[in-house]
Amino acid sequence: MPQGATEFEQWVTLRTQRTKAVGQDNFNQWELRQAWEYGVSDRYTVELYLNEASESYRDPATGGDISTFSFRGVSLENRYLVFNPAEHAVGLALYLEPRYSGEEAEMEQKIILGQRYGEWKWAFNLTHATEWSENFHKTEGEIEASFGIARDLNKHWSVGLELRDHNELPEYDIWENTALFLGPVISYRREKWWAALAVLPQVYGANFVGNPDDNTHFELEGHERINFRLIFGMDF
Amino acid sequence: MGRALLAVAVLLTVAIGLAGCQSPSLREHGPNAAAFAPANGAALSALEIKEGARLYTLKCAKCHQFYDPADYSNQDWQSWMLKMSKKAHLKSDQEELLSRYLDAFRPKDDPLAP
Repeated sequence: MPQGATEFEQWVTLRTQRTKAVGQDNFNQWELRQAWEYGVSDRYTVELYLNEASESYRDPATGGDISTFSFRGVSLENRYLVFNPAEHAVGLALYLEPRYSGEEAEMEQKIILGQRYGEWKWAFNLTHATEWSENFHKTEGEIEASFGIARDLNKHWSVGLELRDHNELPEYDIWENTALFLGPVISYRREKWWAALAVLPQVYGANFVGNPDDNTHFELEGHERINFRLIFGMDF
Repeated sequence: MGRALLAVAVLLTVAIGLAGCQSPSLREHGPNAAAFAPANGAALSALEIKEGARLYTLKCAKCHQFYDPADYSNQDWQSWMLKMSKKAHLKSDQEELLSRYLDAFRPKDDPLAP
């Protein structure tokens, strides 16, 4: 983002379909994020997020429907462009995002690589996050690798493919699970605004500690069968 | 777990090394090569070409591909320059230099000029 530029973003993510075996039938989680991004310099960008989540599912043990809405705190993204892709073989950005909600906190770090070739562009994100929850009594590590490739079809539309692998490491004692998502991304942009929609079904998942979700092809305890993500951005 | 961490460390080392690899051949033959050698840059000093290229790289090429000014009519190009200068929050002196720098990519006998 150029120095002095400001953008507002609204994120809507739907994570849907877990399993009765983990006590979460008809699972839906809506995550909402409102973000204000500002270019401090041509290389350093900050983004302030407000995070909310709404979760609903049916507990097969009781037959009761459970629905919650929670404020997930404030997070502050810091992104620094180390190597501009226009000047180097591969662009590199470093990313640090602390989040705090009073009852839980998270610290996320990313290494972002990317490049553009004419109408094509790609990006690779390697993410590590530590989450402290349940009034900071529980710690969980997360490691994620994601790769996206997209092609501009014209000045407004682009289409692409996103691959994301997410892993959970409770207390950093064990590697509990992994889930691999793969799906299309489509984006549309105008001069003052843009939107991007990703549809990411889980294509493979595994639990490394037992089989709590009673499923050998997917990981449905900490992940879902399908994720949808819509981002709307507006320039100022 | 140890192997996983080792794999991540190796991947990071390779990735950062690859990213830091500045490639002269990219400047000459890569996607943004045109930005470094305007065809009609005689009206610009060497310093202005250097600064124009720096501005282009930092303010334009960081976000989008190179759009050849020669493919646009004067009117369309000026309109785009105005919009994008505002979007990139260019200062007036930066806008003026970048405009002259990118104009140097336009053929002297511009067939698209209105």
